[in-house]
Amino acid sequence: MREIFFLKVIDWLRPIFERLGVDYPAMRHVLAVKLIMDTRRLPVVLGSRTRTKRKESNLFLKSLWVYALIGLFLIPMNLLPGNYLFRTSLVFGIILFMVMTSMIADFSSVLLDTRDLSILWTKPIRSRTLHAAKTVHICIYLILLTGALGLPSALIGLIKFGPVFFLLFLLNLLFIDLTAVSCTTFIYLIVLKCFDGERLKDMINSVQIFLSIAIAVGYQLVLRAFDGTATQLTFSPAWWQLFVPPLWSGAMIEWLIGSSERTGYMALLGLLGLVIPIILLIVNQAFSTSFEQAIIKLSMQRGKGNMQFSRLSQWTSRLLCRNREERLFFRFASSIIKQDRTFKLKVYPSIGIAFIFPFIFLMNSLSDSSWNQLSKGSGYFYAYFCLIMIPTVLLMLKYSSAYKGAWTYRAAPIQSHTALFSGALKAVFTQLFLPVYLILSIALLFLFKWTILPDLLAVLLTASIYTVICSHYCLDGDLPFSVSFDAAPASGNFIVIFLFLIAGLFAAAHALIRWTFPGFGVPVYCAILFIAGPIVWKKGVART
Amino acid sequence: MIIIETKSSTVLAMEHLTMSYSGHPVLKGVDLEVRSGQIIGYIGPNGAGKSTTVRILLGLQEGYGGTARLFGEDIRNAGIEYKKRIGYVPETADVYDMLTPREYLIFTGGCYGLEEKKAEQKGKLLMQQFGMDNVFDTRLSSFSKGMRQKVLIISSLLHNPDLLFFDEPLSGLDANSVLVFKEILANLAASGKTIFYSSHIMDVVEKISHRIVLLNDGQIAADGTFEELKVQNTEGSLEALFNQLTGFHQHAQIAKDFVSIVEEA
Repeated sequence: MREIFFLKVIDWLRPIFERLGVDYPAMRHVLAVKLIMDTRRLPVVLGSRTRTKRKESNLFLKSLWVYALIGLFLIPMNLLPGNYLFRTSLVFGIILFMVMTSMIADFSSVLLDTRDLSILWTKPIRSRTLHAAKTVHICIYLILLTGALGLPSALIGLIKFGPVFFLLFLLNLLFIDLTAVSCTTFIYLIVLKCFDGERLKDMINSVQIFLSIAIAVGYQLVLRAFDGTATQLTFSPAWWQLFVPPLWSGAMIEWLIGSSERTGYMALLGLLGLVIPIILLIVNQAFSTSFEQAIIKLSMQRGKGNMQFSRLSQWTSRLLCRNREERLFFRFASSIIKQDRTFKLKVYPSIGIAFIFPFIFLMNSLSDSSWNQLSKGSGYFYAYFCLIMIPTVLLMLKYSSAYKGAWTYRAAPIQSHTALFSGALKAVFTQLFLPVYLILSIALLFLFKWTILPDLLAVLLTASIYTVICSHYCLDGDLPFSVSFDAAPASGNFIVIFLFLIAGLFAAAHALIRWTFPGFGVPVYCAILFIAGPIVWKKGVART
Repeated sequence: MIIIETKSSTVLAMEHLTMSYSGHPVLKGVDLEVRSGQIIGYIGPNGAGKSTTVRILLGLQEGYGGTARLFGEDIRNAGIEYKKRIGYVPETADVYDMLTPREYLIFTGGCYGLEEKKAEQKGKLLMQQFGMDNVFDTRLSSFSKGMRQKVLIISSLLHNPDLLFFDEPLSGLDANSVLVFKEILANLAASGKTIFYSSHIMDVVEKISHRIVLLNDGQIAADGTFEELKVQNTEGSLEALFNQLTGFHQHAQIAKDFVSIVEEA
């Protein structure tokens, strides 16, 4: 087999793996095959749609340049005034946020993969070795990701602060990855151990949402560690900082090469950055056997899923769908959205993000003003942030773990695929977006009182139109649930960023109308959106 | 026959094997001893616990009761060494289908400690025997069900195992390949290998098995050679025997009802 570059690098670490009780040749063997397969994740062509055959290439590597672009935007942070602690913590905060987001959304399915159980578990390979292969597999990608994100900053650091900073920076990038993988594994292990059957599957998705919220909030903690204005920054020690990994990295660099804050507390923080990743790694490996054994639980398709279509869903399907065929696909898509484990693994983290972001921004405004001022302001515009889940979800809509079932679409006597698309889009809208929107709206109504009701209505109507716009870019002509997840892109996707900007335009238009025509402007805007909605749906979703 | 029996040793032993999924019992105490050189036809209705038994023996299933011994060792504390002597063709035909047969066979061979060159050469020769050497470098994803099945069969035999688990191995194979494969089974058994053969195709099981084990509702309902079972039950074919032993007589009525539901306006 072709020799892979990554494996040659990992060969240097052989003694470490062997010390951890891993059968290195076996691990390398499994890893080699996994890496080869990653380069071949071509979409399976269904029916008559032919596609030009792409060259063998790794889908993840293709998405790296988006991360590199984000990395370029991190450069100014490295040039901010203040000490190493402040700058590095800030940069690592963003990097950790990106790494964890990717870990939870893209790599949870790798960590919890049960598809190759009958291939790998029947072989004489110890579960500890299999787990190591899995961890290294994920680590390779996370290291590439952090590399793309961090390298611009590291190079600026090399020029400005010298080679020691550069090396420490790279070392900390590695530690951040180890922390991310080990922490996530450990949290999943706890869930796997504590729950069984269907409860377990639901819990995993809840944990994902919870983790997404936690990392978004956690990032705010990095900022909260520093008080003051841009000219005068002070760092006030507090117990909770011990749990914020980006501060470890910042403190380590500050204590070693900085000048301002060489306190004992700083040394402790920095030491945590060195010790915790290593401890986590050893713990991770120590529990690897029980982790892999617990995963078998996920492979068991016992227990009846609650397949009763609820009254509420039946009512919405009758309200939203025009004909029988569309209702049928609405119901079909709703069930898949609720049942497909991989789909949920990839999509649920974005629900957590969409939900928490408006609150984070509100909290940030709260730190500058009082509650009273806040409720008179225009903070409810943050509601538009919940739109960001729509492109992320729609980007996954064409994928399914049971993509082979898509032959039914062709075999069944369906006249046009319009009903299939609109039914699926409406299912996404009501099953995934609407709950988040409603909870968010209730919270915002408490804060801003009833006067913002027209504005929230505008957000809802915009979301409906935005769904159609996104579907145009995200589905790419493929039928829903018809492509293998193996061909799915990683979360750092250019289209998503582009669509975020479009959502921003809608928010801007709304704001403009509100301020130029106070009073009647927003209701009129709502009326326009209300009329435009059905037209957009009709034109935008039509297929032959 | 007698000579083989005196030489043979116990390869597989299950002692009061039990298993339940969330309170629902699937295996209710299975006792079975299998000696080398035998082909065991392992049959039973859907959901009788056949797959669960095989999953336990392969180490894919935790939390069972009783003991399972392979090659004389309790698999609970046997580590992984015993797996080196096992070959497995899963019913689900799971395979890394982004790979080519060359890559896949090198991979599975390597998992059993076979050197790359050796696995490649042996794999190629075996593929040749099935008339598939021209697709040695074509991705498995483009293979038909039968071709894929042949690769799986080859990959299960590459490391020359002593014990084989075949779960519906003929699925997708054409009539000629079936003929070849049945002959292969007989030869493998004659050279002392043990074959655990699960299938729903009764006439194949009837013809190839030295011994038939029928699992029904988590328990062994019948165990013996086809001739022995026939004497006990006076039925002509294994299929009829199967119906009788699993207490199933309503097939004519069910079929009639089924079609009448289909044709209902």
